[in-house]
Amino acid sequence: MDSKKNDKFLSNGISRKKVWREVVMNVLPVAIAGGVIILIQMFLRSLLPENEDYILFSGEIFFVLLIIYCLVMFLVVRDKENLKVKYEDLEAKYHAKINETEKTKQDLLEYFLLWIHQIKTPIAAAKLITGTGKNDWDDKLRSQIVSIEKYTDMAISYLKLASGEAEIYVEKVDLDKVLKKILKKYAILFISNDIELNYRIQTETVISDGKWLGLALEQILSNSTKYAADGKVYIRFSTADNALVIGDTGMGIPAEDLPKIFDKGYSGFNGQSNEKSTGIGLYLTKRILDRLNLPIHVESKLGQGTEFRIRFPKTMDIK
Amino acid sequence: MIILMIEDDRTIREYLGQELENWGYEVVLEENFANPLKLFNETSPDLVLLDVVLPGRNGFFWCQEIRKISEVPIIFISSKNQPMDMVTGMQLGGDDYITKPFDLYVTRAKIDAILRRTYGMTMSGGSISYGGADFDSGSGILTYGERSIELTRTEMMILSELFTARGGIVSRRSIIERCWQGEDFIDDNTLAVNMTRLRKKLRDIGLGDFIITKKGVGYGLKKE
Repeated sequence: MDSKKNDKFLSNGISRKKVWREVVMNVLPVAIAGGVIILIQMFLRSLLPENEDYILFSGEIFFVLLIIYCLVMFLVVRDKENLKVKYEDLEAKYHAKINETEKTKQDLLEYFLLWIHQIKTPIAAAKLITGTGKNDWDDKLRSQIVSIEKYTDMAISYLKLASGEAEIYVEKVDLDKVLKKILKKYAILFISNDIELNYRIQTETVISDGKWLGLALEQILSNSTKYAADGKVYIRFSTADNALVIGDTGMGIPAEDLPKIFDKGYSGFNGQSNEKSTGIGLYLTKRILDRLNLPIHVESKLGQGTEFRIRFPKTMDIK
Repeated sequence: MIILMIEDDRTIREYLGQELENWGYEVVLEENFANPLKLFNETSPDLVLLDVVLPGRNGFFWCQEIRKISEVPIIFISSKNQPMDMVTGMQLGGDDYITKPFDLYVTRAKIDAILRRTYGMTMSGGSISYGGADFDSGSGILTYGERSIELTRTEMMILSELFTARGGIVSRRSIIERCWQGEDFIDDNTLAVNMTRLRKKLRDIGLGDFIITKKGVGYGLKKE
C-alpha cells in the first residue's frame, strides 16, 4: 500500500507510476502517428512552398488535439484505477461479512442443539411422573407432553436439514419397524382422540435412509392425530406401485389448498378442529422426501378424508 | 437383582427408580457424583444405569473406571442421541444405550435382554399372583387352583396392566396404551370385545368376578 501521500487526484493504493504507464501506453501510438504527420508536413512544405502557412496551421491544430487527447486519457485511466481499488476493497468487506454471518449462524445452531438436548431431561421426567396414572389428569397431561416432545424433535430435524448437516445413509429399511416406533410414540394422541387405526404393513422393506424417512412419516402421522379425530387412519403398502399409503377419514383438504400444503406456514383448514397446525410439519416432510428423492402424492376430499402416497424406487436410486 | 442408577436428575431418579422396583428389581440410587465408584463397590450391582451428562466427570469417564474393575453390564441413559455419542459409549465399554425421553417398555425390554444374556435370568417373565390366581406373562397362561386358561396376546397385555395395578383401577386409556406399546393397535370397541371374551374365559375357571368395572373410570382386579 502507498504512503499517506495526500494526492488530490489519486485514491490510496494506486501508484502514480502505474497510472502514467497506462497513459503512455495509450498515447504512444498517437504520438507515433503525430511524428509521421510532422514528417509528411515537412515533405509537403518543401514540395509546396507557397502553401507553407496552411501546412503549418494544420500541424498546430493537430498538436493541440494531441495534447487534449493526452489529458483525457489521463483522466480516464485514473478513474479506471480508482474504481478497481474501490471494487477490491468492497470485495474484501463482503467476504468478511459473509464469514461473520456464517459464524453467527453456527453459534446459533450450536446453542439450539444444546438447548434441545437439555430440554429432553425435563420432558423425560414429566413423562415418567404422568406415567404413573395415579391422577386422573395424568393422561391429558401426558398427551400435552408428547406434543411438546414432538415439537422439540421437529425443531432438531428442521435445524439439521436447514443447516445442510443432514447426512443420508441409504440402506434396506424395514417399514414395519419404522412405522411401529412412530405409532408407539404417538399412541396416547391416537387414543385420546379416539382414532381407529387400521394397520396393514407386514414385512415390506424399501431402500432409503430409515432415520430421515421416519422423521418425514412422523409429521404425516402426527398431523393425522389432529385432523382425523374420532375417525379412522389406515396404513398399508401398495405393491403395484411400490408405495406406502397413509390415509385418514378426517376433514379433508380443500382443492384449492392442496398444492399449498407443503408450503412453509400452511396452517390448514380448521373446520371443527380446535388445534391449528404450526405449518412447519408438512413442509419438513416435503423437504426430507425431496432430499431422499421420494415423490409424495396427496389426494383429498373435503369432509371425506386425505390420502398420502409415497413411492419408493425399486432399485438404488438416490443421489 | 440389584440395579445401580447413576443419574443426576432427581425426578428421573425417583420415578424411574420406582418403575424398576415395580418390575421387581432392587434399586440403589447414587446421589454423590464425586465418586460413584464407592457406592458401586459397596453394593456390587448386577446392572448399572449410567447417565452421560453428570456433574464432575461425565458418564463415559465413569464407565471406563468401572470397566477397570468389573465386567458388569452397563446401560447408558442420555438425551444425547447422535450416532457418535452412542458409538463412543459402546466403544468405552457400555453394553447398550437408552435415550431420553424414555420409552418405559423399551427400557424394560433392554434391561431384561441384557440381564438374560449376562446371568441367564431376569425379574420379568415368571408369574405374578393376585387373588389366588397365578398369571405367567411369559407363556400367557392363567392358573386358578387346578384349572388354567390360555390367553391371546391382547388378553395377556390387558391382564398385565390389571395385575400390575394390584387391585387398583386402571383407566381404559391406560390399558389401550399398554396394548399399543405391545404393538397391538386396538381401540375402545376392540377393548370392550376383548374384555367380554376374557371375562367369559375367567368365568369358565371360576373367576367370574375377577375383573370389576368402575363406571366412567376403568377396570381393576377384585380386591383381595
